[in-house]
Amino acid sequence: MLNIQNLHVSVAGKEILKGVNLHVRSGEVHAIMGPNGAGKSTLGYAIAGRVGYEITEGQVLFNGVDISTLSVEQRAQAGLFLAFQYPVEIPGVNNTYFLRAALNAQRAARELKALDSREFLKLVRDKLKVLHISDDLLNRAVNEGFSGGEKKRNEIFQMAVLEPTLAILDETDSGLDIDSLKLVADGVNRLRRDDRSFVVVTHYQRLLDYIEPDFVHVLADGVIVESGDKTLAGELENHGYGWIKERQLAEVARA
Amino acid sequence: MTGAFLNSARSAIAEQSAPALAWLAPVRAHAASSFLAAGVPTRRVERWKYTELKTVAGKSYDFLLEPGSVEIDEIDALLNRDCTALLVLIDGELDALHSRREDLPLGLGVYTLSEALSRLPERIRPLLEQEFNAPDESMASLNAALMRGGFVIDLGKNLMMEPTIEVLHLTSNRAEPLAINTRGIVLAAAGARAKVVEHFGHIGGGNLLNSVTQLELGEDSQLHFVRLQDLCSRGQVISRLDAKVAARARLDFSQVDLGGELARLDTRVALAGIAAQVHARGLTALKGRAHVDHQFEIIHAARDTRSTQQFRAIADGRSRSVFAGKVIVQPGADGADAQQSTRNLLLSAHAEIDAKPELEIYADEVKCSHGATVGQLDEAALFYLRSRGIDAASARAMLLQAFVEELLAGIASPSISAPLQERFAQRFLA
Repeated sequence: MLNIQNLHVSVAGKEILKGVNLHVRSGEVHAIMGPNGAGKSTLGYAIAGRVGYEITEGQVLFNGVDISTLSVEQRAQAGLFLAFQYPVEIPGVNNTYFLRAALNAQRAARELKALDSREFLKLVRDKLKVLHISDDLLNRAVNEGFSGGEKKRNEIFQMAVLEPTLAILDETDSGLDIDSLKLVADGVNRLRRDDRSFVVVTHYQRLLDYIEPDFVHVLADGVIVESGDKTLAGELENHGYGWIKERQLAEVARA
Repeated sequence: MTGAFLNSARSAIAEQSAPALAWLAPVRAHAASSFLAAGVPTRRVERWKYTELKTVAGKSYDFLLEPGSVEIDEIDALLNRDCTALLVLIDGELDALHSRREDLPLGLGVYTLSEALSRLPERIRPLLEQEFNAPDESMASLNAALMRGGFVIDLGKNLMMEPTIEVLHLTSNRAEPLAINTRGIVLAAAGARAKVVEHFGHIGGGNLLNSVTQLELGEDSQLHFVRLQDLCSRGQVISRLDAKVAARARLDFSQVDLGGELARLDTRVALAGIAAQVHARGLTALKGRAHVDHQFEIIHAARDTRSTQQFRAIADGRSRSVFAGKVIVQPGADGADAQQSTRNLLLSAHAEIDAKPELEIYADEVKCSHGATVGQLDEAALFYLRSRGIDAASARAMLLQAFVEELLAGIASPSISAPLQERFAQRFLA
């Protein structure tokens, strides 16, 4: 599904990602952990196509297609979804209106007929029920005045409506209390399917207690330095990111 | 001083017939000498530094025209059908065919200027005797010298409902450009409530509309005054608008400008009585070579007065939007509360926005704040919308519409704001 090969990304002339390799197959959940400044958010933005995140080397294949030539919206229409660490407040744009426009834009790209407001509302009500989100979020402006928890739940709600094949969750756990975290994780788990993959970017292991990953990778200074199964997350939690560095140094010494 | 404009104005002043009312003659004469001494303002005058009137000053105009006519379907598109009374003025004079003044409620008078001069001359006399002597007011003194046509709205004490009255200005197409000097007056008696819309519609053929509008709000009255400008052509509008707000009265002022060749507004609000209020909002959305210059001044002259200003502008193409907002708190106006904010979007590298907030405070216990921003559409918001699959053009349109609707939503009533949203969408989002 997602195949990242030797990805180098620069932001404002500074190289942040220095050769990332990552292979995500259908239905898998990959966690990417790492200290602050390792390049975790950059990876998400580069895959989503944000202006200013320049791929200088390597490639990102999504379902076999090199996405570097696609616009931001084309990537979304192809089935890619980025849940933002800091969802943007957009005053004056109604949340429901925005989401229907997004869904219909994606449907148009897939040559499906647009949903009218009644059909859309029915879809939305069904999704809300499953995710335990109150519908007053719908009538407000996009993320405006939302609490931290509401913003993150709104991201998961959008994901539920847009039904991407690959979702990148960028520090979805940051700023959440334990109840909100459980709600968000529960929402993600309900969306897990054999034909949908997740890349969960997080600083802490906490989220992975609720969203169980198939693989865990450690990103440090722009490269993936360690990969393993979910037990790696536990070890990181016990030893801290310094532990990875020490192990690397030990390996270098042995060699 | 020379110049084709000045020469044609001078001949018109000499040629026009004497007024029917004796007291009006010296008023006109004083205004004429005041204008002829100052001439057409140049950019050396501080309040005119953003607007060049060279093209106006160099042209000869017809000031003493007979009223003409405007194509009917053009009028129909601009008519507001949801108001208590509608006054359509073509070249300043009544268009009886399209105006509606039947079955007016008790306490409401809607007159043309000439009707008012014969029916309630003493009521409007103090306003017509107002002098405009400063060099930056010379266009208003020209208006006083050559005033022809206009309207008077009389809101009486016994008015039981809240009427909406719309005045629609149109000008005809002529071989020689017209300079039309109209006067508008709204008198709100104590406790009266109303909405008044002054709508500058089609100003064609390189015509100049030079208007003066005066609002008098009696104690405890509430007036929502809406000034719309929606010029579809090469029209030029220069307007002076004065409002005097008595104790506990409240003026809501809304201004929407969707372009035209040149528009200049000079709005001056005096909060004259205790606890008088003005709440002003405005939207200017320009493209092409449109030029809009809005000078807005609020004087807090009494205790516990309140003012808010919320102005937004969008400039695309090679257009230019100017907003100079000034708040003056006079000595003794303690307890004054003034808030001013302007937000501006610059959509093109060739457009220009000038935002100039000013505060002059001469009292001690006051609360004043102001803020001005000029920027582009928010890159983070655009990326967010696009990351959900919405194409770049639609995302941009969505953000522009949001910027505009937040402001239009507060204007008077849906029957006024809905057509504006539509016209904005046609012009900017298509």
